[in-house]
Amino acid sequence: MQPNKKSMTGAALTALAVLATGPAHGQTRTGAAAFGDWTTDAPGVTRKVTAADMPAPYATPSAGAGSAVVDKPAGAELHTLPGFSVTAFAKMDGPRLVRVAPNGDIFVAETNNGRVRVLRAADGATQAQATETFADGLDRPFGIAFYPPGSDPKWVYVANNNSVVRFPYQSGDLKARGAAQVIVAKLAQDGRGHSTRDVAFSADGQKMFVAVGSGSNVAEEMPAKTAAETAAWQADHALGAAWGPEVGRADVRVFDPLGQGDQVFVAGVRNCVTVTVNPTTQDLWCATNERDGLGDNLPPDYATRVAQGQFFGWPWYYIGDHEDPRQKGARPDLADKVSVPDVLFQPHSAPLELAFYTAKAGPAAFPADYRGDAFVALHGSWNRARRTGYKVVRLKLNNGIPTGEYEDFLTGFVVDSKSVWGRPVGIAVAHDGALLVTDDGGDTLWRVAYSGAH
Amino acid sequence: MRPMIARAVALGLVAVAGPTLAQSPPGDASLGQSLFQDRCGMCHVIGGVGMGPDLTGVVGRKAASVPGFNYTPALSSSGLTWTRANLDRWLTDPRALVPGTAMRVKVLNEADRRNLIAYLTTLSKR
Repeated sequence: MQPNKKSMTGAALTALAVLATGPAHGQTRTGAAAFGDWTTDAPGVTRKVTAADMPAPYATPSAGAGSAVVDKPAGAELHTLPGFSVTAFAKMDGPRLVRVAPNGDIFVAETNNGRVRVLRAADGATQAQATETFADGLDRPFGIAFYPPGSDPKWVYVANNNSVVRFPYQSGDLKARGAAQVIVAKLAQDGRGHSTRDVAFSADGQKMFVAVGSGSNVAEEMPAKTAAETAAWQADHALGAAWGPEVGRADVRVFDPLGQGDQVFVAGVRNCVTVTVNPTTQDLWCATNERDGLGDNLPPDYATRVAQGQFFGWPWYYIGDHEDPRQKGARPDLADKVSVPDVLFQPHSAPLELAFYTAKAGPAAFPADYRGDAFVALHGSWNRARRTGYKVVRLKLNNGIPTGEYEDFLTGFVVDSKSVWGRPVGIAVAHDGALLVTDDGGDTLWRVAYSGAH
Repeated sequence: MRPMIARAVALGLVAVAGPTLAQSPPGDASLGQSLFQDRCGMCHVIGGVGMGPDLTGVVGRKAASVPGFNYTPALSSSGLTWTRANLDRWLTDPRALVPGTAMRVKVLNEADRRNLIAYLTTLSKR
């Protein structure tokens, strides 16, 4: 189906909030210039943050600068690159993670309402044409995955705050056709701390990955162990696995699709909000929120490939061999075993969902240059004096290998130093090639389509 | 009449329009504390700085009154005082009570809300 040009220039255009800007296209901000704040955001601005750019802990105080969410001010617009257009695709109630079924139906977790909704639209449509509640009565659902991988999934898996369940599914279902089956009854000893969970399957359908964020900022309530106790713990646990109330947390875990064989796949990822497989390379990726309380520019949040047995530092280290002063001296054995993530974001950006751009065709498909890259929704900072995040960025990959650079793709949610009118959470690629972005500040599902020359 | 309702009537707990907070049994503060740690503690740091405001002394105070916290205009202009009844309405659906608030978490279970409020009541100003 071709895009309906007439409707795009009609009512939907009033919701069109586009200002194509991009004078900085092609430049990459590095070093201190890569930090900054929202005032230096604009589509096309590219940043590359490296571990060498990090200041010392406490170089600045730990800020409490959460954003006030306000109604969209008159004249406020979202900004994207030339050739792209943005529309309000649907109004929702606290939309969070979004994933698209093989048939194009759009599944959205409305986490705080305990439900998963499904939206449907024809290819090219600028607004959703039907919305149904797929399942409700769930416990803060976030992650969604279709199983088995491929064109004809039979189950929809949902990661609740403290369980994984699945619903029987046939392509085209807008309501779950049966009751939930419990796949993992309990993910952690309690639900405290980071509350989102995500679920993904390996391309062969053999492995189920579940990301479980830490129960705390930096394991403040994890009891101390002596060196001998630590060595004994480490001897029969995954590298860097935490203990006490943090057992099984700050991890990506791996199970079989029926929830058996629970193991820690990677440890020390403080809060891997998205775990997803790059469909091109089959690499597993995490989009991760790093810790608070060390100052405005520390430590960077990150997106990275993760491989079995890796350890990313939490709670003892961050971004490689950088010891957290609050855990000083606790784990000298781990100092040289900490992986450095692939792509570092401005500290406190809060990367939530990450999705790979895969569309090859469709009325809204992006230029071929985007294929194989990733998009990440940055929900935005509170622990930083000058606001950052509140935008969607593109991660550059060469043949599946991230370059470490990320480019502003969708900006404009920030009003001023106190207020924002939207907060991006979820990212997915629609059946027609458009990029879908959920916004739980403005309660909107946005659609970004390419309408320039192919 | 089902036994539980009969017992409630005998105790004088049933209101014509359904139970309200004032007529409910008091909550369990220790259950509330554990629930607070589960559901609230990542944003609200008692006695400290977090994504949400410090809730020390919240019961009985005016809404949006922690100095230095960046409240939404919606909550600042709400005119609310955090009575137990208002906290119950707030926790049921914050945005139904104050459209435009940044608070997103809903506590859908009535007993959970009662226990949480019992816990919050223990957080008196130090």
